[in-house]
Order: sequence, then structure tokens, then C-alpha cells
Amino acid sequence: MTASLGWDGLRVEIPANMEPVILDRGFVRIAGPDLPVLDLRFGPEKAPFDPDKDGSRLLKASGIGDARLAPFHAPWTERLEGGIWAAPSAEARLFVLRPRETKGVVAALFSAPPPTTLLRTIVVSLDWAPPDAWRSWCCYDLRFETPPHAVLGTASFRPGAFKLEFSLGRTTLIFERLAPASVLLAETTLETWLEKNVLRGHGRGLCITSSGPAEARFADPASPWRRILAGLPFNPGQVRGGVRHDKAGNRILILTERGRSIPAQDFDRTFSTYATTAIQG
Amino acid sequence: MQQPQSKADALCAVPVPMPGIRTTVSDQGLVRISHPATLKPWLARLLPASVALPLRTLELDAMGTFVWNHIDGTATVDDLARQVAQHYACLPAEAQQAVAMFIRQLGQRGILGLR
Repeated sequence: MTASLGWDGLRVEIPANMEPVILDRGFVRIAGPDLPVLDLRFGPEKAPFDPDKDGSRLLKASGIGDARLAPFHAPWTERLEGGIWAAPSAEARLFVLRPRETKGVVAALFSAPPPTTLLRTIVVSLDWAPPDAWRSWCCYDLRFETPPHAVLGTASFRPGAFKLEFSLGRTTLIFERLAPASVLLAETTLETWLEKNVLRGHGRGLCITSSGPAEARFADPASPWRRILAGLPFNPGQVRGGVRHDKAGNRILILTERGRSIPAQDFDRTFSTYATTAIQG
Repeated sequence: MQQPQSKADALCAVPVPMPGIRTTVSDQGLVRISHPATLKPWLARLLPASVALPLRTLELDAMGTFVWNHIDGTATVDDLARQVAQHYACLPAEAQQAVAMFIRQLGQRGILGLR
């Protein structure tokens, strides 16, 4: 049994008894009881990864600077695209992957030589999407997509209030997940709750459009003056967003866009993919 | 009261209401807790034992009321977290953090102790 993790372009399947303990930009730490801790470092490179040229940098960063990266072969690695290297040669615990043809690299460092089943689960599922593509995010119970070039700013996972903030040029995208919805809404409608809680935070009057009892959109009132002013450099820009009440998951999902508006179809795709996944266990 | 040594110890601790606590239920079904005001230790030492401390009232929200109603002197922090996770369909780790925070806050007010 495995669970998907999608973070900052990385895609990986992790065993059900492991969970992410650190999620940062270009770095994920996964841990589980009685299993080696796994650090995943990933990101774009200027050129396709070359183990001779770029390997020493990764080895030093992994604390095994005296080892050498060597091609890694196992029966289950034959179907993998791209290359895979490992170090040290005796009991390998650093595995470096070049996903497909992208100019990116993923380094998987285990705190101890991993069991074959764990290594296979991780390595076979590892993939990485470059920043100029749509990226899928899947962490804890959240699932969404971000447009190309969206850069993760801050991520906080407080009990009942998850918040991830992305910057995309002069636009800020904020994904919020509030729970439990039954307590927050307290018998009121989503629109009433939105007026009372979310819009107050923006400090100005926003138009709310309900599309059913479980979904609403909010935006600055559409007026020609506002549209012209929003394009000026000193203007903080417009606010636009969507709220969804996930009744099955007992959560409220909020997507807010601040600053220069992204194309409507990109915003719609981002909002429509924003959902929660069922909790296992 | 002995301080829990690790996360596992903390999850095995049993929260119990402190003496002198009175509870009522509001019209909305939320629990209201009346408890003696907590004083700084140095101030409490200066006051004679005969002085009655003023009562403070705290109203819990729906989630707090749910947890409070499940504190029966036998349920551990882990049991409470599991019930919260099941009832509110939230992540187990999230429920543990929320329950731990709730118990810590009530503990700071002198409402709950750990056994």
C-alpha cells in the first residue's frame, strides 16, 4: 500500500507507514518507524545531469564526498527512462536520477542502506516536472495543480488551517484548507460564512457569486476604472477567488488570487483541480 | 504531576478535570467552564489560603465541547485524538496536534491536569 506525494514538481509513491516530515522548496524528508529516513533533493539544472561533472557536488552535499557515483543496475531498473547512479559502491544509500529528458535531477539519500522493496517503490515512482509545466501537488489530504512558473513561497500546516502561498510574476496564489467545516460553518451557509470571515480579511467590498450551496466565487467589483488601475505598477492589483465546501471531507477549500490576474482558463483549471483526497487509515 | 518525557508518553497521558471546576451547557449545546482564576506562583504564595479566587468562565466551541465530553478520566490523549479524527474526518496527526493544543491551553488555565 502506497500513497502519492506531489511536491514542487516531484512525484513519488511512499509506503503507507512513511510520511513526509519536512516539505520545503526542492527538498522533502520522508520518515517512518523502523525505516531509514529518506531525504529527497530535486530541482532544475542548467544542463542534463552529468555524473562526472555534477556528481561531486551531490556527494559532498550528502556527506559522502570520498565516494564516486556509479551507474546503478537492478532487474527492475531496466524499464526506467533516464539514468540512475548510486554511491557508495559497497552499500549504496545515495541514488541520483535524471528523470526522462528534462534538465533536472533528483537525489534520494537514505540514512542507511534501504531494503530492496523500499528502494524499488521509491525509485520506480520518482518523477519530476520542470517549473515551466503545469505541476501537480499532492500532500497530506490536499491535491491541486499550479500553472507554469508558479514558485512556492510559504507553506504552513497548522491543525485545521493549511496554507500554501505561490508567486507567479506579479500574482500571488493562496491555497487554504480549513477544517472541520461543520464547526466553522456552524449551520450557516457558505456564502454567509464567506461574507463574515474571508472578505473581512481583504478589507474591501468584494462581489460574491454562488454557484450552488457548496461553491462560491468572489472578486473585486468589475468596473472599467478598477481594471485600468489594476494594471498600473503601483497598484496592488485585483482580488479574485473561489471557495468550495467539501462536505464528504468536512473541509473548506479557498483559492485566492491577488495582484495581476492570470488568464481565466488557468485560474479555472487551478480552482477545479483543488480538492481533498480521502484519508486512509 | 510528572511531565511527559516523549510524544508517546504524552499521548498515553489521561486528562482529568481539576477540582473546583463547574460546567454548564449553553442553549447551543456548547460547554461553559467556570474555573478559579490562575495566579502567578509568587502571587499565589503571598495570598492567604482563605482568600477565594474570582471565577472565570470559558465557553468552548463545538470541537472543544466534543473533546470535553469525551474526557472521562480513562480516555488518553491518543484516544481523544482518534475520536476527533474519526468524528471530524481529519488527519490523525492533525487531530493529535489539535487535541494536544486544547489540553495544553486548558492546563494553563488550571482546568485540566494530566494523570
